Amino acid sequence: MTVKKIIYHCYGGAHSSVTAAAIHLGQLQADKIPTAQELLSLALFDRQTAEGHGQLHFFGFDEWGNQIYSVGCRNVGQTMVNILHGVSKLLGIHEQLVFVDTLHCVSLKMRIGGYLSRRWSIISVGRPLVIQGTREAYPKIVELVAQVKVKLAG
Amino acid sequence: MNYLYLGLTDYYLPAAAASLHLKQLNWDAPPSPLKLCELPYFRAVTKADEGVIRYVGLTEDGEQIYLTTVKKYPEIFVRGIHSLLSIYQVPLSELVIITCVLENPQVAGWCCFLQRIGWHSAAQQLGTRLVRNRLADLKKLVPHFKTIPCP
Repeated sequence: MTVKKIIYHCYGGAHSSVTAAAIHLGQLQADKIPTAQELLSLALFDRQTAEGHGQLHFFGFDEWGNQIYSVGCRNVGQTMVNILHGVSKLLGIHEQLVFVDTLHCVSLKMRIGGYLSRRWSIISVGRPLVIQGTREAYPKIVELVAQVKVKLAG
Repeated sequence: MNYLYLGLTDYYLPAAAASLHLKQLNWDAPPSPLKLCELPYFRAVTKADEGVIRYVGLTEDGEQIYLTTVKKYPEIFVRGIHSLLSIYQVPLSELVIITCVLENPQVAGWCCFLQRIGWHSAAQQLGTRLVRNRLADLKKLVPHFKTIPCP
């Protein structure tokens, strides 16, 4: 099987994409909703700033040797996908890039909490809200990662 | 070495800058509107153009020139491309990104609007004016002009 780069992307690269990457790598259990502590122990969870948007963050290798990344693309994820595919093509790199949009898994609580915490730095209010939102959205993120893994395995 | 001219909801400036790089025009005098309109990709952008990398040409030195456009946040795309190059262990100099941003990016939106309502020639006319007004700035962006030694 050809080794791929799996890139989970969302708005800020701080919550849903980071959670999805952690689930993919088995850092978070798929069958158990993580605690606040487990989420906060993830390297980038609720820590990414606007200056890091666009930056690809490497998380690790999955069971097939694929490289797992996360990135925050704001609301221009599809444009980022087009550009990065185009760049790898023009450089003659044939390694496959797989982009997975996690934005549709994001709940309203995650949006509001993430906005307060990351955009306005009101961490004391935003962080508990975004953690609660992530815990609620967790089954959806797990399902998305499962679909990605099925595609990778097939 | 490759060059990527990155526009913001706009092909006019990157197309003109790319042509300047390719020496497709005599830039000592302001180019005529007709000449500008003949340049590749010298047109208003559509949604389908966002993030699509277009090949414009090859310089005498073998440099490949591309252009693309994004709707907003050009800086995150620059960061994204640079980090992809780092991941592939490709030197950043392999793909030089030159952002061509209008002073008033909303004008590019007007070009798109005119194009959408079918006023193609009005959009082209506005695009031509944009380029002619920014000619001096464009010359500063293009590496060929940057490297001319002072007399």
